[in-house]
Amino acid sequence: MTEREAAAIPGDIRAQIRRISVILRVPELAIGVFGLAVLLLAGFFLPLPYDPIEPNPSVMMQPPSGSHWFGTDMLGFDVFSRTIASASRDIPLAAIGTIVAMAIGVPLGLLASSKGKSGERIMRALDAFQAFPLLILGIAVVTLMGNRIENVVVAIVLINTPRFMRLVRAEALSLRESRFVEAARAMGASNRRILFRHLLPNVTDISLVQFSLSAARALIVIASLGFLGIGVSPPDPSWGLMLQAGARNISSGQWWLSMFPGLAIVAAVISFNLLADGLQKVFSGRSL
Amino acid sequence: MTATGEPTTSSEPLLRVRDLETVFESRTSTVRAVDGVSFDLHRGEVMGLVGESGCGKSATIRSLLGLVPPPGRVVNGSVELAGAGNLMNLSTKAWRTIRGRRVGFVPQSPFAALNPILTIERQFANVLRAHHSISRSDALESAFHMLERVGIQDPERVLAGHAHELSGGMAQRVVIALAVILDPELIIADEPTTALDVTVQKRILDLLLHVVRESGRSMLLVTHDLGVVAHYCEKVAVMYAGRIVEEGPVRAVFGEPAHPYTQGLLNSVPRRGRVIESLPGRVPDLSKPILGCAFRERCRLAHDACQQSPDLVEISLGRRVACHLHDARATRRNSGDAQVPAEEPVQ
Repeated sequence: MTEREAAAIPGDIRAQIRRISVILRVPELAIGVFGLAVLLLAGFFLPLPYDPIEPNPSVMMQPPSGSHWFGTDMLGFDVFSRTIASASRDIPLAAIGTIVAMAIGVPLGLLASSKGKSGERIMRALDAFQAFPLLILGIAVVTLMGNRIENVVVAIVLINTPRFMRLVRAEALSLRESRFVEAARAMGASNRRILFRHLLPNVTDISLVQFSLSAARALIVIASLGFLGIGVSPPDPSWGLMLQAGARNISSGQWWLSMFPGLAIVAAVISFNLLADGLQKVFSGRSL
Repeated sequence: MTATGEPTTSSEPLLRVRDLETVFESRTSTVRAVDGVSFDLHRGEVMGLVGESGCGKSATIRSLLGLVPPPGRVVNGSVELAGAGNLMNLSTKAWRTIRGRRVGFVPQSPFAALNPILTIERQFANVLRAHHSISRSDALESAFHMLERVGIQDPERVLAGHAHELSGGMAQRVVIALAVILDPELIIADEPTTALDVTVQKRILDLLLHVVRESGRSMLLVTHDLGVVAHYCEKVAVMYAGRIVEEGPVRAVFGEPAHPYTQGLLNSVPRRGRVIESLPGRVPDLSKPILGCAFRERCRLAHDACQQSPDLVEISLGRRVACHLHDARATRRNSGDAQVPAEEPVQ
């Protein structure tokens, strides 16, 4: 995110360098960006030793070795290839779902911060909606709408949108009391202008932090759905699926089936969380 | 003059406020922050609105702008702006064409009044584009010229930067530029220099007055600094407990204060060779009904008549005061006796 922002600065190389050096100075940010970059780059570009969706029945259930670094599973899939390949599916899926949730949740949260009936109605509707356990709602949605990957995105949007709404609304409510909003009103700004020109820029930072946290959560949702056999369907690789496939075998000693996708999930989630911490540090350190 | 005669165009005030009442209601109490304020402001006039904190100055100007924060609301009175009628009847949409375009607002602390996230340029664009559909480059250009006019040395750099990069004086210049960029006839300034260093206060006020005078604008200057009023305003209204207790030409009011409260305020101003006196007591609790004169409890000259609330009466041309000490004087004047009795309070 930050790298893309830096690239958008036209021509000013010094500003770019300054932005990059900010990343390096905040260790959380550096580690988070690095972790995600490694996972994504590996997922998309690393030449895999074996085809992740082509089982080789002659090498079933082999423990990690020189030829199969993470071992193989009961159908003869190479665990290493599948773990890496999953990164190019699970992380973008989590990111896309969270971006959509942010695109819906932030404007709705701003609208809900307006005084009067409409804001109140939005919040009561949200209360009613959140009365459902959202993960179960997500499962129901994906099952009912068809076990397709797009519907996983829908599930993530359902689960994450309320978080953006509540966060942004709370922040906007306090910003509304600020002097600069009063000054803007006194200069004839309309409600809409206040919301989208004055308040929106002020909630960008917390929204980005929330994006990072929610993306971590989305990864866990995808893994949970995968674990329940919902969403990504075999033979496509997904960490949740692999975790589930190997879970039955842990007690019989074949630890590598679940271990490696599990570690990958942990690494990705931690990276997103560190990114969130780092962003928070950068934003709160910014002199206002 | 409060005469309700035929308003000729030349004498019609730019702003005519009558019986303005603003209350803040909560479940347990009702605070009468503005309690029947009336005044006129003519074109080209600069009027000071003074009083202690909590006397209703801010509530008054927020009422004038239609921006009383909830749970407050204007319950009575009219605010007539020449050519726009009674502002209290305006729709939200019509209000927006008044704010900024006809009435400019200079807020109290410039840093709080500027959006911390947006560049100064964006904030100018926001103000301009709230009223006119104007291109970004045109907005930038007019912001540039405006900043030059308020004495910003390097407008380009200021426009590209954020509020936190400015000094206090520069920030206040930016805020003044924002307030006048749409060329309003009336400027309402809410303690425009309280947040500034004393050294820059005078420069900013000079600038503000220059901006007001050069195009014949009017200004309502809210302050608790009597020195500022004496130096910059023609007219002054002294507020106490939500009411105007004395109003008139600055020279007359400050030279010969008619209300004991005005007297007390003037005595609390530090001056060389004189002991500073402080007003005993404090502003009364406005959530309780005030019986009689609100200043009675703190007034050294209170007498029996003060059990009843005094009216704001004219004691000489353009000079009004709400105090029973002047009851006799007011009636005498009304009956044609121009002799001013030497019954001035204290000193």
